[in-house]
Amino acid sequence: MNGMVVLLLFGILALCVLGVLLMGADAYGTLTQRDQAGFERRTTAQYIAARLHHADQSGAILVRDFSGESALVLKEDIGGMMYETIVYCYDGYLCELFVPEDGGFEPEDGTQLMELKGLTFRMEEDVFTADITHVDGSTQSLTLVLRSEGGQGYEE
Amino acid sequence: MRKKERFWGILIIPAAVIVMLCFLAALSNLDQGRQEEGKYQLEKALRNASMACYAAEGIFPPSLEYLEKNYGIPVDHEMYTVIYEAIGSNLMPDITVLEKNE
Repeated sequence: MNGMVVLLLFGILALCVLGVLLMGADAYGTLTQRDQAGFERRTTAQYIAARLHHADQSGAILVRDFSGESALVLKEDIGGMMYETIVYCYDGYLCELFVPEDGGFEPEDGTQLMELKGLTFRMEEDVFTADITHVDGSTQSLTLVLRSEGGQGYEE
Repeated sequence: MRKKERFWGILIIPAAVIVMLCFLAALSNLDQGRQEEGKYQLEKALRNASMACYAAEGIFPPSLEYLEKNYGIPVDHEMYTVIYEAIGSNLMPDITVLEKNE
């Protein structure tokens, strides 16, 4: 009888130890998810802002439709030839495509950078706005004023 | 009564062994899960740091050492082998993490 009591106590102790381990694992999972969500919010906005600042020259920034997706287009002249960096959201990812102007590429040709649910761009004169929808459903709005004159705005 | 006591006395040993085995199996399962998770988390941290580098600097990191030095990603080289292939400064590098005893 005493042996059974000892065994029962050991069983309860083992269950408690496992319970604590499982609770710790669950807390760790929640923390990493929260950390990842914070990283996605910061990095998406930082990426778009950095791209804009780098390309901020007269007429180099415009917003247009890219095969049904709202896209930010950054033009640059390399060796006499015009190239475009197209930033858009496609198939649940923030994508980037670097191609010659009028290259005839499709959204699936871009490089997937990070997970994103939605992304739309607007430009009114020199005010650029990006509306970002993250994977967890939260939304974020980034507004920048371009320093260069005559932002091209929206191109049909 | 004696027979009953003897019966319980004999039963306690296999019962104790079964409880101990279940406990050790659960611990082993947790440990294996921890190792898998460690590998996954390291790979995710490297990808996140690559993306952070691209967002901040406009280029993807040229090497693993660049990531370790400038973005503070601690890689346990004794436990993991990291295969880092930089394809181009504007393309996401190919990152694979392998455990050293695999």
